Amino acid sequence: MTAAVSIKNLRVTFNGAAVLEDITCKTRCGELTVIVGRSGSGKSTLLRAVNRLNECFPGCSTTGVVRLSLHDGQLAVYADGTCPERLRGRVGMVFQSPNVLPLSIERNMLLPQRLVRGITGRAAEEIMRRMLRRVGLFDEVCDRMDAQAATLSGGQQQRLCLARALALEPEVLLLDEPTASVDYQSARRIEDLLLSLKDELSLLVVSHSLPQTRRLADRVLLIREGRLTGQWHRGQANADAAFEKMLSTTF
Amino acid sequence: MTRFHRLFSALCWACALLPGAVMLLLIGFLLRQGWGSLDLHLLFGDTPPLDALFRFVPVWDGIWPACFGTLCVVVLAGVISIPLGILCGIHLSEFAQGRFRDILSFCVDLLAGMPSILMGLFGFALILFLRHTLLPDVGTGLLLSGFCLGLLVLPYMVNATYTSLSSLPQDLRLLGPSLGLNHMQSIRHILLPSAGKGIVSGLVLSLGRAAEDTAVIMLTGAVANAGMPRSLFDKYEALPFYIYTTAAEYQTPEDLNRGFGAALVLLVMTTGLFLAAHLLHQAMERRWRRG
Ligand SMILES: Nc1ncnc2c1ncn2[C@@H]1O[C@H](COP(=O)(O)OP(=O)(O)OP(=O)(O)O)[C@@H](O)[C@H]1O
Ligand SMILES: [Mg+2]
Repeated sequence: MTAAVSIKNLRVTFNGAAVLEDITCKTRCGELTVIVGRSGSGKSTLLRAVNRLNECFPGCSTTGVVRLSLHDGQLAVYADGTCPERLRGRVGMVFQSPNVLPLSIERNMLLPQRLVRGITGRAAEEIMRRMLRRVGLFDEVCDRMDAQAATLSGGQQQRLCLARALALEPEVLLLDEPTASVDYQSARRIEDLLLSLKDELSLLVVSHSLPQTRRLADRVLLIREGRLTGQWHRGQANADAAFEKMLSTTF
Repeated sequence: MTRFHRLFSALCWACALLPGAVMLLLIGFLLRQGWGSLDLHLLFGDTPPLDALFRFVPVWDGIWPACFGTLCVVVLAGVISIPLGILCGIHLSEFAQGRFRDILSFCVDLLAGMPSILMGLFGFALILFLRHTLLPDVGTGLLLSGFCLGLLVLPYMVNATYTSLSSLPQDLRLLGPSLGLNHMQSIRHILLPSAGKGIVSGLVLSLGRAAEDTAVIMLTGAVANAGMPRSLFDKYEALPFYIYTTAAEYQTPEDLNRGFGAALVLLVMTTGLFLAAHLLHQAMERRWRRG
């Protein structure tokens, strides 16, 4: 089976200081990978290394190899010929803190579709409704699509961001603590959604919660001070015991 | 609350009132002095207003030509400084890097600190130079004044654009790229609209500065009795210049009051420009938010 995301000797520095060092790992298609680690260990940086978003910070430099397997074959993320915009159009991302456009709810969904995929009108609205239903937001916002997205609660904004990313039909989805500002019920809904998504796309999820990790993960990457210090896989021998052993020190 | 706290907040409160109070005082004073002379006669003299407006009958004893001249130079200055300033601000904030950016923004600051009389002298010297070299027939006029005023207010536009773009939150900057927008799309659809408010304040500042400046236009083409300009290269009258000459040379108290009346007209004109700028901004913002 091919690797969905394969990372080799990844090193990321900000202004000369190494934030990630010597990361080598692989995830499989159809798996959900959870990245765990203490605050400041470099989880978000690792996610951003996959869609080259670290490059938007001044003073950041990245070395190493990241490969993605997409529908039309392998893509070397950091190869010279790879266009970052095209890459990011296929690798969706939801930020740690909800990050809505200062526009209406509807525009939040439609603008990226128009700009990135050139989809407008009925088709775009259809996708919008489908994705809002999928994240369980449609009933809450259907009567105020013209309202500013910033007037939504934190959890609603987070789900809007998720729907917005899904509307672009990514092949890889990077989620930075998708349930951080969401109540228990909505968190479970999002988890169910993620589990249902993993057949369609590759998922990399940062999580701060042990129960969530246990529910979601097919594979766990443990980051400590910028290094990959542990890996776990559902299929390995003594999986449950190994899981407890690895994560008891983290949470 | 400690005594110091109370004292401090009282001081802040008093200082917050100050601009409003000064503004009221100023307008009150202008109204008291100028209200009496504020009529159609001040604007158009003995010429029938409709003839002056639509049939370009010369106005000899009114400030209409000065209003028109000022409007022209402000518009010219805006046409030059607004697009250039915004583009330069975008470059500074989004494209320029490292030392080059530092040097560029230092130049902009230098230009911002340039006294306007120097800008006037520059325009004057420029026309002398052109006359001795390429264009022996050119003289000072509307276009030169508009150009020099545009240079004068250019740094305000640049800095307003630059600071409001670069003070946008980091997350908003990352949002466009994270969705797969390219840099231009991100600037055009996310960053610029978000920075719109700051850019419009810069615009208002620039227009106001261009409308009131006297030093530049004195040296580059404004004269006392030019009448309506017939072309971009013609001499013209301007309100601030009219106010200045009236205040310097008045012979009767009525003359002086006409100067105050002209000041009121200038105030109304700049307020109108500000209003237009805000309406424009609102319309653009509505379009952005609704799609
Ligand atoms: N743009 C940046 N410039 C400089 N340093 C950065 C930048 N982004 C991250 N870092 C540094 O990289 C390290 C890892 O940051 P990162 O955001 O990846 O941590 P994290 O694991 O996501 O933490 P958290 O769980 O709190 O979100 C931190 O020490 C941080 O200071
Ligand atoms: Mg993080």
